[in-house]
Amino acid sequence: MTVHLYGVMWAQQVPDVLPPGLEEAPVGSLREGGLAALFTEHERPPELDMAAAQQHGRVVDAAARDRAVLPARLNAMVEGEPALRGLLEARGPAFRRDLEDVEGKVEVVVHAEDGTVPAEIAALSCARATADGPAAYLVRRSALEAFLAAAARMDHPGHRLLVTGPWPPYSFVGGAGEALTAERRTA
Amino acid sequence: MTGDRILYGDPSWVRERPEARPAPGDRPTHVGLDAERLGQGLGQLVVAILELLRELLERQAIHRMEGGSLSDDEVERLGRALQALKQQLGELRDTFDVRDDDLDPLVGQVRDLIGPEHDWGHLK
Repeated sequence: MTVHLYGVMWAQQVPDVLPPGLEEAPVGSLREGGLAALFTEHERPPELDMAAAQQHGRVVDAAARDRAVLPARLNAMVEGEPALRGLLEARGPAFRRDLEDVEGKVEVVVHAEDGTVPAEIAALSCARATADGPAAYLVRRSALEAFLAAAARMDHPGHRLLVTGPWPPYSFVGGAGEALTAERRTA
Repeated sequence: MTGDRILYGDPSWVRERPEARPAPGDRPTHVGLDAERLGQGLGQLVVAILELLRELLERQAIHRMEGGSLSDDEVERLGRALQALKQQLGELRDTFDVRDDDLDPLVGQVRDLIGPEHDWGHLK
């Protein structure tokens, strides 16, 4: 059985109801050491197409709406529940650290026309992701309004800004990142 | 993806980021073509290349979706475009009578030609 992973969160915060996952499979939670992994089981590795990406995103979005979640990438799969439990055990400390870091925060992406996000906006975030592409910031939910107001102040012709979000903190799963992007294993 | 993901701004100016392009392959390769079945072989090759491109496009689309650089509208449009592409590729497969058994080794050969430095991830 292939186990597809959606994310890791505190066990006591797992929502009672979650939308179905890949291949419309019901999402379960495996609990270990105060953590819970959200997952679906599949006879064989599911095809990772646009439909799968949307189903994956739907589950992560629902779980992360008002709680801390370390979102897994679409290709995070392990063979069988024991492997998933092993992952929670082995990476428990990193997962806990990252969960504490993203608690009460969301990811917000800023596209800057001239490639530079004004410092006044960046200063309202807790962290900036280091990956390439548009700048991803970790922002406290309580600071989101001020963040957007700053974007509106700094948005000028030639320096246009576009802010998208709030996203689950895909870019901020530091220590847990490797585990959550585990390449799918082929038989 | 649910709800409106644009929190502030007008998305019209956001330009496409240049995507990584495959570097030209620097090694010779041999795609097994039977001269007597050249027409079908060429059809298979075309389908194999299109299949790889389609899956690469899909992976890039997913990557960008996850990275939050696309609006809901763009995600919808991408989804529809990729679905249409998949369907058209299926029709091409029928036209050239290409079965999975024929395609798998060919896709592997084409992937080798493009080079191991590219992450083809889950491709068969």
